[in-house]
Amino acid sequence: MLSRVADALFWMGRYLERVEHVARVLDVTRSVLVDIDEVDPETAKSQLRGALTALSLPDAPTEKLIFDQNEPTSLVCAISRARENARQVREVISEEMWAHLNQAYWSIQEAHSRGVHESQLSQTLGGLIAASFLWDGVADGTTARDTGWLFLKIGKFVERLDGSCRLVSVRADGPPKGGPPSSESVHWVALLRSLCAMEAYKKLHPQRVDKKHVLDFLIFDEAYPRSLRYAAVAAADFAQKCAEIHGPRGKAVERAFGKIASHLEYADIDEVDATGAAEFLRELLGELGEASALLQRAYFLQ
Amino acid sequence: MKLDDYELDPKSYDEMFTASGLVRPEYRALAQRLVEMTQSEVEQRQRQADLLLRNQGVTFTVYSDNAGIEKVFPFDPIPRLITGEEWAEVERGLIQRVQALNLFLKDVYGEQRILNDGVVDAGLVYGASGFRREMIGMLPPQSVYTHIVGTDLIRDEQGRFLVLEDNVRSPSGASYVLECRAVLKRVFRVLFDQYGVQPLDAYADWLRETLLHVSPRVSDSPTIVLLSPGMYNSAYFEHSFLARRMGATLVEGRDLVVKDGAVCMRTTNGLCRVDVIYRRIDDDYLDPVVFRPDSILGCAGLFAAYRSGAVALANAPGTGVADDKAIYPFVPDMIRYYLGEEPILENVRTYIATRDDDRKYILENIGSLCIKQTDASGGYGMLIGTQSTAEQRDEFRRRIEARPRSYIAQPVINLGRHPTVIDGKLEGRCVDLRPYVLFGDKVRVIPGGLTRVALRKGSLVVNSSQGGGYKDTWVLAGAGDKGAPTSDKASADKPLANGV
Repeated sequence: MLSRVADALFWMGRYLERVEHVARVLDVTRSVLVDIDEVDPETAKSQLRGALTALSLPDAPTEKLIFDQNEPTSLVCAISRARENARQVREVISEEMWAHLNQAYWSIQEAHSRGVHESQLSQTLGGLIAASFLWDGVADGTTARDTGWLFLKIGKFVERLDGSCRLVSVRADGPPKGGPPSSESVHWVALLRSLCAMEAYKKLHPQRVDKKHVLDFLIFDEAYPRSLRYAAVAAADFAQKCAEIHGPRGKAVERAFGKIASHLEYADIDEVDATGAAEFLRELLGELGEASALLQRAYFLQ
Repeated sequence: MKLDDYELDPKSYDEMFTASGLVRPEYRALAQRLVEMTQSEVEQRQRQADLLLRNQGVTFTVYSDNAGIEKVFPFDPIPRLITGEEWAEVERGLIQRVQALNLFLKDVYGEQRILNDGVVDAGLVYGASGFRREMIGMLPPQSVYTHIVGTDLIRDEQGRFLVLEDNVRSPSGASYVLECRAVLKRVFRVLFDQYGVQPLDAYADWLRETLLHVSPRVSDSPTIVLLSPGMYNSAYFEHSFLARRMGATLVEGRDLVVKDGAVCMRTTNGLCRVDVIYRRIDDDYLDPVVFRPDSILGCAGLFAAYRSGAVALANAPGTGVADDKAIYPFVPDMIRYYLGEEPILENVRTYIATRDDDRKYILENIGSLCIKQTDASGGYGMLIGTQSTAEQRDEFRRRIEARPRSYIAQPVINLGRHPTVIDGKLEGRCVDLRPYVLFGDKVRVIPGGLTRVALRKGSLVVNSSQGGGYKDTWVLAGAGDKGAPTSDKASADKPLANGV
C-alpha cells in the first residue's frame, strides 16, 4: 500500500471518530444542563468549559464549533478533512464509503447555508453522530480486510483512545470544590453520557454514580467499546495485524501499542488510586503520542 | 413535453429534426417518449441525474470561481443518438487518423522522412511547443506514442462529421462518458432498453490492456500506476475513477522515486517497482532533471529510466507536436503519405498564419474567421470573428503579425445542434463529440464518446471551463441488429418541430 494512502486512511479514521466524539460531548454538555433542574449557572459554565478544554476547542458558541470553516477544530472542518483524505484515496475505499461521506459533507454544508436555529443544534449534532455511525457500518460492510482496513481502524481507535483519555483526565478530579451537592452527580452523569456509557454503566452499577466506579468503568472496563481499555486493546490488535503483514518494520509499533494495552489490562482503579487517575491518564497520553510517532515513521515516511 | 415549439436554426444541422421539422428515424422513439412526458417529469429526471452525479463526486474544478472550486459538470438528460452505420464510418476514420499520427511521431523523432520530403514544414515541427528534442532517437516500447487519443469531432452545416482537433497528449473526459452512461441508464431505464445501444463497459479493460501492452517486464502482474497531479487538479475525479476501474495504483509525484535506474513507489512495505505509468501530467512536469526544474509534480530521474526502458510512459513525451494546431492541417497529408489512403474523416479548412497567402487572407477576413492560438486549449486564446468587437479583432491582428507561428484560422462553422433541456423546455444547442481511441496491440474506439454541449444560447464553445455541459451518446447497434426501435405514434410524415 502506498505510504501516502495509508496515511490518508489513518487520518480519515481519526477525523470521523473525532466528529462523533466531539458532537456527542457538545450535545451532552448542552443537554445535561437542561435536563437537571437545579444546576446553578456556575456549575453549568464550568461543565461546558471543562468539555471544551478536553476537546481542545476554543471557548466559542456551539454553532461556531459546528459550522465555522475558519475554525480548524470545528466539526465541518473535520468532515471536510476526512472527505479530502477520502478524495485522495478514492480508488482504495469503496464507492459506498465515498458516497456516504460525500453526502454527509454536502448535508452539513446545506444545513449551514440554510441556517440552523439554536434550538435545532442538538438535531444537527445528532445527525453528525449518526453520519459517523453509518460510516462505520458502511466501512464495515464494504471494505476488504486488507492493509488499508488496518490503517483505517488503527486511526479510529487511536482517536477514540486519545479523545476519551483527554476527556476523562480533565474530568477525573470531579467538579470544582464548593459547588452545590448536586454538582457532583451532574458531573459524573455528564461524563458517562459524553462517552455514551450511561446505560452500560447502570447495568453494572444500578445503585450509584460515584467517582470511583465511574472512573473504573470508563478506564478499565473490558467489554464496553468506549472504555479506554477496550480502545487500547483494539488499537494494539490492529497494530499487531499490521506488523504481521509488514514484517520487522512493524515490530516497534506493535510493541508500543501493546504496552499501552497492557497497562490498562493489568491494572484497576484501586491500583492507580482514584486520586492518581488524572496523572495515570496523562502518562498514557504521552505513551500514545510516542506510539503514533513510531507508526508514522514505520509506515508513512519512506 | 411539447416538441412543436422547438425552434430550428436554418443555418445549422439539427441532429433530431430534419430541416423541414421531421423527426429523424432513429430519434422517433425518443421523441415519442419526450412528448409523453410532462415538463415536471423531465425536470425531475434532470434533478435525479444531478443528485446522482454529485453524490458520486463526479465533479470538476474551476479555478477562477470563488463560490466553491468543485462543480458538478452540468448534465443534460436528452441522449444523443448516432446510428450504427454512421458510427462504423467514423470509427474507421479515427483508427486511420490515429495510425497516421503515431507514424508521424515515430518519423519526426526518428528518420524525419516527412520533413525531408517537404510534406510537412520542418519549421512548424521544431517550432511546436509540444516538440521535445529529448525524444529524438528514442523508440518507445512497441513503437506506440499515442496510447490514448481523444479526437474532437463536429458536424458541419450538412451534418458531416469533421475533425476539429486531435488530443494526443493526455485527453480527459473518458470517466464522464462512463459515469454519465451509468446515470442515464437509471434515469431513462425503459427507453435505454428499447434502443439497442452499444455498451461502454469494456473501456477500463481496454485501457488496462493498452497499458499492459507496453510493460517492460514480462510478468504476470506488472505494476501499473496512474500519475496524477493530485486532488486539486481539475480532472482528479477522472484520475481516481480510471485507476479504480482498471485496478491501477493512483500515485502522485511524491509517491515515486528512482532507485537503481528503476521507478519505484513508496509503500508501507518499502519501495516497489513500477512498470507502466499512465501519466496525467504534462511533459513539462514529468521530471525536473530534464524538463521544468521547478516541477514538484513529477519525479527526478524518471525520464532517464524511461529512456533506458526500465519503465513505460503513456502517452509518450513529445506527442504534443502532433496535435499542435499548426500541424493539424497536415494530418490529411500524413494519412496519404504514410498509409497511401484517402482520409475518411475530413479536416476543417485551416489557414496557417506563417504562410504569407494565408496570413494575408486571415488579416483581411478576420471578422468571418475563428482564430486559434496553436498551443492553447480549453477554449482559451480564441477569437470567434463573427462574435467579436472591433478592438478584439485589432488586438488579434496585432498578435498574429507579431507571432504568426502561434495562430491559425478556420471559417466559423455553425456547429450541429442537439435538443437540450433549458429552463424546462427543449432548445437547440451546439454539440461536439470526443470519442476516445486506444492504441495497444490493436487500435480500438469507444463507441460514442463525450458529447459536450454549449449551454449558452448561440455559443459555439463547448468546453467545460467555458460553461459547457455534457450528454450521453448512444451509438446504436448496426444494421440487422436491434438498433432504433420502431415507433408508430411519432410518424415519419408529421412534422413535430417548427420547420423553416
